Amino acid sequence: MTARRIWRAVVAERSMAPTLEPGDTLLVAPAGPYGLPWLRGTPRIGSIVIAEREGRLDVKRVAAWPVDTLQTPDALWLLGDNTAASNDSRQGGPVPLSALRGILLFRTGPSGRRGRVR
Amino acid sequence: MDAAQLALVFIHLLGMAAVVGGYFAGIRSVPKRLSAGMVHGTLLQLLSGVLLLGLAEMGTEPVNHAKFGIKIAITVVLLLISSAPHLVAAPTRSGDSIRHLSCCRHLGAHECRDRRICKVGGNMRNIIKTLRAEFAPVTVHAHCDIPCGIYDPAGAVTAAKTVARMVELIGQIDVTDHASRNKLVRCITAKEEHAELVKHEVQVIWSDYFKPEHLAKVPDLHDQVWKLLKLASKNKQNVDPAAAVELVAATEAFAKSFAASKA
Repeated sequence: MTARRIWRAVVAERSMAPTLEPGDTLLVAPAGPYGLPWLRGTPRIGSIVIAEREGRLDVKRVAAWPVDTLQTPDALWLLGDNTAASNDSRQGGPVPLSALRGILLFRTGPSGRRGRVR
Repeated sequence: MDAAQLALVFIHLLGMAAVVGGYFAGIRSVPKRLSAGMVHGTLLQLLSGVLLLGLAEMGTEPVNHAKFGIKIAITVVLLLISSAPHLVAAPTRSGDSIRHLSCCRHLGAHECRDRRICKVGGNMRNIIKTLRAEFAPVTVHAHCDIPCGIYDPAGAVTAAKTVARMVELIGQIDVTDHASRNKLVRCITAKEEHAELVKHEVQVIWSDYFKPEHLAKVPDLHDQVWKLLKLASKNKQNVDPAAAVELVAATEAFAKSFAASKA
């Protein structure tokens, strides 16, 4: 599904609204275990990342990092921007760095919404 | 140093002239191909460009690495394209041109199965096609319970207002003939359906949308919903204008609670 290369993602659902809406396509740099050595840069607080949880890819914002957990010394605390309608670390707990799959570079579409995402 | 740089710039421009000249020379030829001159010109540009970069690095002026990087990248891509052997003009044999024409007469949206025969338009299209397939977007979830846009108390409010309107209409109907009886029955059916709809809408938002942390903002949520559902049942059973007004007010209060939970 993801590999050691830049890949594209399309957003489903609205937990990152209004920053990301369903149908937005994103250009994503590989991260975590898939990160290229010179691009591995750990995410900063506030950056939007894609992590694998329960076999699916979730796009969320890094709220805190690193978070100490029993299993892993460094984990990400991920939250959706649309807190009322988001299923994130508040329910699922912290996400280990090994589950990280990508860091958002910028939005490639739809045409009116292209560009950097903050 | 200056003389060397001038000579290199001259050679660099010569390379460009070969590329641009080659393009214009071949502009009318039907199977579009790179002439050998264009390939050599590109190579010449790369070599002289790299040497120019070396000279610039030796100088004292700051070097714009981004500019050089982009230029070299473009040249490398051009070289890669031109290194595809079937693209570069080969000595034409008799019969070749006829085959080209027969394949490429309909340039519109045809797909060239045999890339050795058809060189027109197909290559760039194929490259774009491959890239598109390679970078097909993967779905990432901004997860919530089912598509979240559906959590909206407006549906419940509208249904409650429909109930109130139906109660009003039922009070106005004087049953004298089949037509008025038909209208009465239809109004009653609509009232009952919409009272049921109020219950459904409110229950979905209550059970699926509201999470424990929302209770801090809406402490009386459970009591409010419980009373609202009972009120909806009462409206379903009876024709009571006062209860209908209460139901509209209660759903509007519920919509306010929903908004408060998001604040």
